[in-house]
Amino acid sequence: MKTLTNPFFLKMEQGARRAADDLGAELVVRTGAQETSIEQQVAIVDELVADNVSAIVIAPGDSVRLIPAVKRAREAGIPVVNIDNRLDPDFLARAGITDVPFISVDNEAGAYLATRRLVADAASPAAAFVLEGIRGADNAEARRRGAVRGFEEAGVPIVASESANWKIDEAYDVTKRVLIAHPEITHLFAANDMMALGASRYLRDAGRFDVRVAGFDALEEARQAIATGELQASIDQQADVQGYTGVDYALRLLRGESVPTETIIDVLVVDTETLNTAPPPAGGQ
Amino acid sequence: MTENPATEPAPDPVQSPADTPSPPGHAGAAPLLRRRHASLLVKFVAYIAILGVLPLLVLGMTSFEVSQAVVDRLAARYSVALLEAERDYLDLQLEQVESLIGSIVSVDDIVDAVSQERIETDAYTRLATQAKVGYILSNYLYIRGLVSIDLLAANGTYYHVGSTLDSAPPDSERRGEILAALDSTCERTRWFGVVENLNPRSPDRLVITVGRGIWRTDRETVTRRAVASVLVNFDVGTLYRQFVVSSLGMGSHLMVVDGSRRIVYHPDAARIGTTVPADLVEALADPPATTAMSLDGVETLVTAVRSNQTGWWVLALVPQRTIRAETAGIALATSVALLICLAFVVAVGFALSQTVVTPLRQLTERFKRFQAGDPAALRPMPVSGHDEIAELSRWFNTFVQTADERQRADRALRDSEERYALAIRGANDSLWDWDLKSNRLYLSPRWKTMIGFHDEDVRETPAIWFDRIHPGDRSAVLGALEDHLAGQSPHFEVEHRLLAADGTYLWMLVRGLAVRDEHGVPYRMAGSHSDVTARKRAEAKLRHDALHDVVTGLANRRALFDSVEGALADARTTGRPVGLLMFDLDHFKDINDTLGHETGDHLLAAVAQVVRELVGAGDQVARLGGDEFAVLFPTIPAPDALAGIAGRIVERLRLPLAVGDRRFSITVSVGLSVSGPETTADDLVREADLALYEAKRTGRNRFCFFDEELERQAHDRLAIETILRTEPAETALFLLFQPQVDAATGAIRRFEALARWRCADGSVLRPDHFVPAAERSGLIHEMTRLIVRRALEAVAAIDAAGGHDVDLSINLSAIDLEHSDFCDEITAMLSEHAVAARRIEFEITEGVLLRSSPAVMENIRRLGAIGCRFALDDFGTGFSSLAYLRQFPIHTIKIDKSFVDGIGSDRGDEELARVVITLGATMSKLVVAEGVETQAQADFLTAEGCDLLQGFLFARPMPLAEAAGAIRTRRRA
Repeated sequence: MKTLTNPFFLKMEQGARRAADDLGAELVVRTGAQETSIEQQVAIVDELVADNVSAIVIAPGDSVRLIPAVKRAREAGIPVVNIDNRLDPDFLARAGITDVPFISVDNEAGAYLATRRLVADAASPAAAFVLEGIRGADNAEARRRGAVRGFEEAGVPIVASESANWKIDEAYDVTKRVLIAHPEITHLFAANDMMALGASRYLRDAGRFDVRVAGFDALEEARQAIATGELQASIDQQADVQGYTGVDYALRLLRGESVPTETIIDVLVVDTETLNTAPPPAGGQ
Repeated sequence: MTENPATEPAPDPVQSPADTPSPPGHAGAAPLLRRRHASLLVKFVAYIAILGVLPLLVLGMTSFEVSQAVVDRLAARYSVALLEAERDYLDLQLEQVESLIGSIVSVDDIVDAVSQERIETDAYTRLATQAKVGYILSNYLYIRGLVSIDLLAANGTYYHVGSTLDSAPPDSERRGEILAALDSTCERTRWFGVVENLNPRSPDRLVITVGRGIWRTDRETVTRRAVASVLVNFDVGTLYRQFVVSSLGMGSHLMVVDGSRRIVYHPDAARIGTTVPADLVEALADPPATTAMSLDGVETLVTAVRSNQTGWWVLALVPQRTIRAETAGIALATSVALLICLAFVVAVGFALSQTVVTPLRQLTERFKRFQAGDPAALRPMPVSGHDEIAELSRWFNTFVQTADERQRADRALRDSEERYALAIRGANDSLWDWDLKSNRLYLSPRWKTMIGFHDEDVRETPAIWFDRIHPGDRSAVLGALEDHLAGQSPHFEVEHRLLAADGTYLWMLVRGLAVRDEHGVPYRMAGSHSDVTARKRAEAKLRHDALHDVVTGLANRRALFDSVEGALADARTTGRPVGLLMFDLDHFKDINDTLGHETGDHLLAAVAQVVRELVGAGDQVARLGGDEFAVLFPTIPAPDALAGIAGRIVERLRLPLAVGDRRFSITVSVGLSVSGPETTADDLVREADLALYEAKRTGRNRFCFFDEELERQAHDRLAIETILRTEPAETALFLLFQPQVDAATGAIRRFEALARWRCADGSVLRPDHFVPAAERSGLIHEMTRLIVRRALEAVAAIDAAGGHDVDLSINLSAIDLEHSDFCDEITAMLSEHAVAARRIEFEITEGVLLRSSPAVMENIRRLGAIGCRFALDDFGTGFSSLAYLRQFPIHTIKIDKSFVDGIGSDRGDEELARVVITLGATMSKLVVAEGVETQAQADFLTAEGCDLLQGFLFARPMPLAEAAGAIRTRRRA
């Protein structure tokens, strides 16, 4: 996984561990230190290959830079399942790798839904700011596109679009910088909840209670923030289901069974409404 | 050799005093010897064992003990060295962890995060701090084997990074324990050893935990206080994998125990985390470098080293038995060496027993036996080598041999005397001993017995012997005696006649030998007389028998030949011819067959007597064999004289001859030959033999002289025999068939099968030519079989031509019927050719019936029984006897051609023919006339009632095809 500093991945691990318990597998969880620790992730994959693990379920921090490591794993005869962020299909094909099953959510749709929910009651003039994930990551790009589409359809101009590399503290800093430069911003979409929480913290510290924020991932902290009105919306991408399915697919590949090359998990919009009506599912059922 | 214990008290130290009273050479000697034998051997074995085996045993045991101690020590030293290396390696690893923890506690961000008094509750702060701490800690996670890092702040915050994101803060009790433990260590690292993972959700249940407090100086009090503690959890599995591959050898294994006596590493992974056994704990409490103890029931050598850094123990556990295995080789080698030594002792003991003790015992035993007179003691002792025992044995053998030779000589002398006496008694020879000086002649009683004297009649002078020598032999005996005494013959041996008391002469073989003094002058002579009278008589008889016939006492064939040769030799000087007369008894065989050989022999003797009386004294009568005799006339005035004698012999023997109480009427046939200038003995005998044959051929009871014609005939006979032998009968012999026709109707009633022999030159022989030759040469049997087979084959052809009612007659020779198997052979051939026996008639001559031997009669009877018929051929020419017609199953009578020829010209023949026909009719025989050549003959015979006619008038003998054709013609007619 990418990092242990994002609770989103805790949920994903819990799903994967449940799958390992249910399906009878030994699971080793490895993460990079930060979302941006791509080289660390590459090292982890190489180490796992050296340890001769049976299969690898990977949530790659970068859609391209991890492909050589994945290729090495495949060459060592280790099946690889791709979850969360998608490995770039073009680059995969160029590296001669096919049939890497991919399990994720429709990030663009999720971002679009979150954005639409954010700007539902927007009044003119409005200005939007998009906090992007790591540039080059497929899910980050997809969420950015979804957010852009959502804002454009609502007629809200995007005045700034910056990356905070999925990180909470970086988001705080970036938001501070952008808000100073663009005080007219009224709506902010963060590509994940960590960045949303970081931005929200700055807005609170700066007294900018007028800026409305939406996130992605529906972390527990984000849910609490939605409940207090601090955040407007988030997207539950059922990380546990992804983790569970990833392990399941890996075991199926080991048994020689075929698995779908692309599995899209439903996304759920979380807002005050959904929090009040139906509590989110606990796991990947 | 006789040991006397009384005079020599126990000279042998080995001999126990208990043995001394035992008398030597008796049964008591055996146990004595055994005891001696045993004690010598036992002593020897004991010495060897003490000298050889005991030191080896001591050496072996000592070296085993010492080497075991050395191995133990070396093993311990080795273990300590290894353990120190392992401990150092472990320390090195743990030092990394310590330096890690040291660097963590000095990171300001971390110290700041955990030292805040106020606990931030907002999500941002928590998440941001968590992320920040995580960034830092994560960088330390990649030490291999690191499970997790926990950060416990005094203010209650808890950070966790590690193998799982999923963690929960420890409860306050646990937290308090940890903080308290770290407090006491001030600012040093604390090794907790193997503990439960602080994070219960981690997959690693047991971890090696090292902790250190994070201390901060309080600005207000200026004191150091612990604000948080860092726990680094290390994977026991990593340590396990690292140690499990390191081997100490010798079957031993490593164990690592932490400060709380919990097992950090053990080859059995299940025991990791458990507390070490109590006795091991005791050993560790005051650790010597190495201690031996029982662990899990196994004697184990435990070696321990302690890490000063962590306070842990690294132990090596070596099972004692693997160490002992190293020294087992010494025990084994010692045992093997001991066994070899024992085997050597046994072998040497055995060898000693064999080479020294046993020979000694045997020698002693021999002496005892020798003394007891046992002959087995005289056998020589086996001697080998040149040692003292061999020398002793050799001397014993010499002693025994000398004693034996003496005994043997005594016995030989005794035996010789006995044998001599026995020989004199047992032999029929008598002995004489002539003292030439005193001229006394000793003659054994046997001599006197042989002569018929009584002992007292004999004076011991040589004259009693020499005077009785036959005058004809005396000079020879005395001459031989003088020769021998003069030294001219090696011994004296001569046969002579000796006058016995009853006036007869005995033949004596006398042998003798002279004994001479140093000058070669004989002074004594001795010898024997053997009575060889019986042998001499037997020799004379043998000489007589060789030249005389035992039955008649006449000269035999050999003697006659000798005489003939002698007479011929004389004749050549005198010019007067020699005559030879040979005769035999006609039909003598019948007498022998019917009355037996003894009677035959008596008759022969009577004939010999008669003939001897008829001839002159100078003429020699001989029996040549069987019933054949000869008379040699060494000189005859003229052949006529010979004819006179021959006539007298024929006439005289024609008279009845009395033999015992029987009277025999016999006749003889005589052949005569007279020598010419060139005649040899063989010629003379052969010529007489031919003349005899001719006399028999021409009717017997007469004599014949040999002439050139006889010679020629003999030659012809020989030629025919040669032809028969050289040409195969199968091709040369063929049959012709002459029909016999019904006198009344002229129809063919039967055929006579007539054999012909075609010679190589194309000429054809008739049976009267070749059958006698075949009979003589023994070929007749096969020939008859061939004729019968051809005839039976002809029956089929005749049948094919429609002649089922036509019979076939076949001529048989007398010799055929002599074969006892003849009837069986005919029976077999009949069934082979499927010819009914009644269609075959065998023609036999009266001669056959005359011979009437049992075999002939049996064959005729049996053939008649199966249905064959017999015809009597040439009836009326010989000794035709009406009795035969009654006695034998004769079916047909054949009138001989000679009578038929006379019909119309000779009244006698006509009468004879008529009589025969009438006879046949009277006796219900079929009458066949043969040789019918004219119609007049046929008419006469038909008128007289002859049944069948045969002759040229009707048909010549013809081949089978023609005969079959005649049958067909008959059918058409």
